[in-house]
Amino acid sequence: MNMTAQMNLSRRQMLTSLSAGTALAAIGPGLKVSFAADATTPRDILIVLFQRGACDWLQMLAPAGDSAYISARPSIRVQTTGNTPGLGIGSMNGTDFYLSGSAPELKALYESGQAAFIHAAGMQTVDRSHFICQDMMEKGNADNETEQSAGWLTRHISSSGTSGAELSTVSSAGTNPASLLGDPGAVAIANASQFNVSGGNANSTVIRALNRGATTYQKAATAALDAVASVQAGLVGVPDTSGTAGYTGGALSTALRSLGRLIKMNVGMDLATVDFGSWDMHNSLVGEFATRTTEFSRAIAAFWTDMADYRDRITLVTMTEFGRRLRENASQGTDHGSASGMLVLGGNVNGGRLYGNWPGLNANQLTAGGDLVVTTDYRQVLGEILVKRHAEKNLSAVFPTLKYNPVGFIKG
Amino acid sequence: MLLSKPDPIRVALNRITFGARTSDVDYANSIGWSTWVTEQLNSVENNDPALGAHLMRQTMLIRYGAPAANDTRGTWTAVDEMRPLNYIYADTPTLWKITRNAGGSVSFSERTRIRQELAAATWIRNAHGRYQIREFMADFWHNHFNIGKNENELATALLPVFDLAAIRTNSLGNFRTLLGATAHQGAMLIYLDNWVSSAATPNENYAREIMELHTLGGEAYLGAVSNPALVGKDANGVNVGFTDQDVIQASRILSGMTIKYGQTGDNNVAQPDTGEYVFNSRQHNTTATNILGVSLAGINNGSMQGERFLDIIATHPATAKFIVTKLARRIFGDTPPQAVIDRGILAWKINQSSPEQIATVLRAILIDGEEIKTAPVIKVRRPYERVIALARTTGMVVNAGTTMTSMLDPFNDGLFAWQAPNGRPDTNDYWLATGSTIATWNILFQIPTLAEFASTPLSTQTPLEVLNSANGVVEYWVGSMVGYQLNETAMNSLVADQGGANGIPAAVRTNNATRIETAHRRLVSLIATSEEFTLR
Repeated sequence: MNMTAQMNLSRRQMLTSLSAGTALAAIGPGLKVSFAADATTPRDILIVLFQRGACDWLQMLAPAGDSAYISARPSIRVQTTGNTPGLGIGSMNGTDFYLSGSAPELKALYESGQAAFIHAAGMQTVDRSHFICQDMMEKGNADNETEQSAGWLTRHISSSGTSGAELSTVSSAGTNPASLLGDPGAVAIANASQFNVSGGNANSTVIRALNRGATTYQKAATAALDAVASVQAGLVGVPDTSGTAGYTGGALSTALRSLGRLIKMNVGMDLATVDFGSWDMHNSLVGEFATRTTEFSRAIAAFWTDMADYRDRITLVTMTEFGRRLRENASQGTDHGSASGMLVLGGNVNGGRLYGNWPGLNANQLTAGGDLVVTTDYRQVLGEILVKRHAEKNLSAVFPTLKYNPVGFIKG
Repeated sequence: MLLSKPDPIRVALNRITFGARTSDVDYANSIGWSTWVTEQLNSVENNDPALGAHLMRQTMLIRYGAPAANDTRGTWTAVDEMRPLNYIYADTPTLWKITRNAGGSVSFSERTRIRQELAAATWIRNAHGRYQIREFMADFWHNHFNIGKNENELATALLPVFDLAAIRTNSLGNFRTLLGATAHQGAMLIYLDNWVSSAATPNENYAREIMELHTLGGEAYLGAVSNPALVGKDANGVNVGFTDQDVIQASRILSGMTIKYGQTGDNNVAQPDTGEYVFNSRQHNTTATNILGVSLAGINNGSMQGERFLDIIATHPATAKFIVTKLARRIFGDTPPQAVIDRGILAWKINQSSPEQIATVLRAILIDGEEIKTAPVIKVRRPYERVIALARTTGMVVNAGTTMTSMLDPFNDGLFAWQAPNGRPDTNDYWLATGSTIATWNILFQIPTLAEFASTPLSTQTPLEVLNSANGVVEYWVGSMVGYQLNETAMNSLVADQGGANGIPAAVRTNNATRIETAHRRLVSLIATSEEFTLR
């Protein structure tokens, strides 16, 4: 079936918002996607997964044998032995790293060369506010820089001129994330299969007629109806075979499963954002972190299984607004810190390696009185993907003050 | 005949209520806008006999079995009954005990029941409360002092007390009192981790959010400042903003503000396990020396330190600006008139110690200028507002049901469902995303079909003489829901639709009551997707 002809794609981005459900959503789940202008040429797909709430990457990818780590986290640390030990995956600058014991699926993706980690990454800022830092990161800002009014993905879309098809930008929340702020055509879809107007055409025809004008609401209403028509037409050719991929019923699984169906529609989607929140664990971290990481790991692995025919075109990158303080607090949790880590997964990722520059955990190596130092600017990671896989010729339009210096995790 | 433009009083009412009914417009017109507002602001919480009686009549099914014979944990007996909304008036120890013992001597269903009752009661209060400004402000303050129900079961269990004792009691009162009330509630102290803060390592979560979200606002956050002496001061000698050092100081000051959960208290005596507020000096860190540039010297009593801190942040100029601007956006939309904000801030500051501070701010915003009637109508009703407005403006009687607990959760507008402490965004863009637009429409189609809303037929409201006229039914229901003509294209398309097979006149010709009611439900839902209904 010729999807392209059927969809009659127009110059408009679409944010498909795949809801990651309610039980988990810290800030609100989200998946947003962008579809390229020429859907006949398969394009690379970038998926940005935001771990909202500030994930503790010293637990996700722990220097579990480091004496400073052991003494700073007596009750919550990832262990190297015992019942649920961390999963050793390699070393960087002489320090051994262990993935959370709840992430065996990510270890398998890493060992098969498809996934890599960049540790001690993040935003170089002294700010510790969830909301300010998320906003800064989604706008691609750095400290001491004029605040951007649009999101970094929006600037990329406009700079590269690559997107433009009707369903080119999708978000998994019912709403658009700040990274797509300023994109007037962005569309959010929570769940592709349920994405339809109650009562079908008999009602959508009237609603369309009711909203023929050009006011903000009327344009949004018309865009929503167009998106519904496109998704429903597209889904006809894409049966949901993802039940066998190993998705759980969890929020991230639901979002990625829905995203997978949109990818299989082959309508030129090339940007998607997914939110997976509730990482703000100021107390009783161990159990919560295990639950959250289990879903994180299983959902990503299931998505990768589901995407077997599309892996060469997909890069998935995770980010979080900041890391956590090295020392655990009295509530067996961790407070706001600085550097975190990023996962990259893709058919063009030089996987099975740890990237970055480990700054160390000794007192004189920490910042702000006890935080891991950011040694890799998150914009270098995003920038490398845009330049090498998404035809971004003018990265300074996306990240104005960044001195581009690729980390090297993308092939070529 | 339908008006071609909205009555200014209807515009004003829609901005500060959950939806203006024609009867509301007539009443406000008869007594005058200023008198209507004054009557609302002079009201007393929980003194609305019709609403109280309606809530008393409500029951919801609760049904669960006894635990299996070999289950050593549980000891409860089976329940299968239509039960009144008892938990919405329950005290902290009662709610605490149920949640503490859930899965042991109490079924988990009882714990769930608490949030189900609160959600149902909130829908009913918002839809039927006579004092709509109270309902509007309760909704505003709940979002401002947001507590997400999926964070911690114990916090969630205490939400009915938080709702009545902290939010509703003070919704039109004094902000310092309101802030203090929220700070002494188990729901807040648990949600933001202050209950487990300790003398050795104070938890910074509440300390940060009470300044960034509840009072001074994010604009007043200065980040890490190496030399606090360089921070500017306001007229009262208080720093103009807060730094990371202030967060640390605040965490020390607030440590010890907790609840009784069986922990060791003063004089080594164990606290009871009741969930009630207590200041526990064993959990209090005594090393705070100053906050926002103000010395704490001489305030050695730990709980007095906390009260002093709340005084400082409640009366801070940044707080006045942050909250009044936020309120003006809630009322007027993304670009509120600056004159409204200026009047509100002035009233806020002048009445800082008045027990009617918030009511006075509202008077300044609503009465001391014409903007409430004349400013452009630009605010997108968020999904929940559209649902309640649909019920109000179509004469539906809202009854309690468990569907209300999480119906709007998937697109981020469920009651108590916003998980992060910042509350849901209050901008048009956020609610105009395609996902939430479609989902909201679908809820609007679903609402009239649900038992909770369908006790009174819509079809009996339509005047008999217009039932056979496509134009007549459209004019009647647009009149009820919007109060004036939709744009011409929209009116014409609705009339064309009603003249067809799905219209009310065609259903009337079948003489089938179910079909007639179904056609009515569809028409009101369609009207609810119009721009004129969506904006307020």
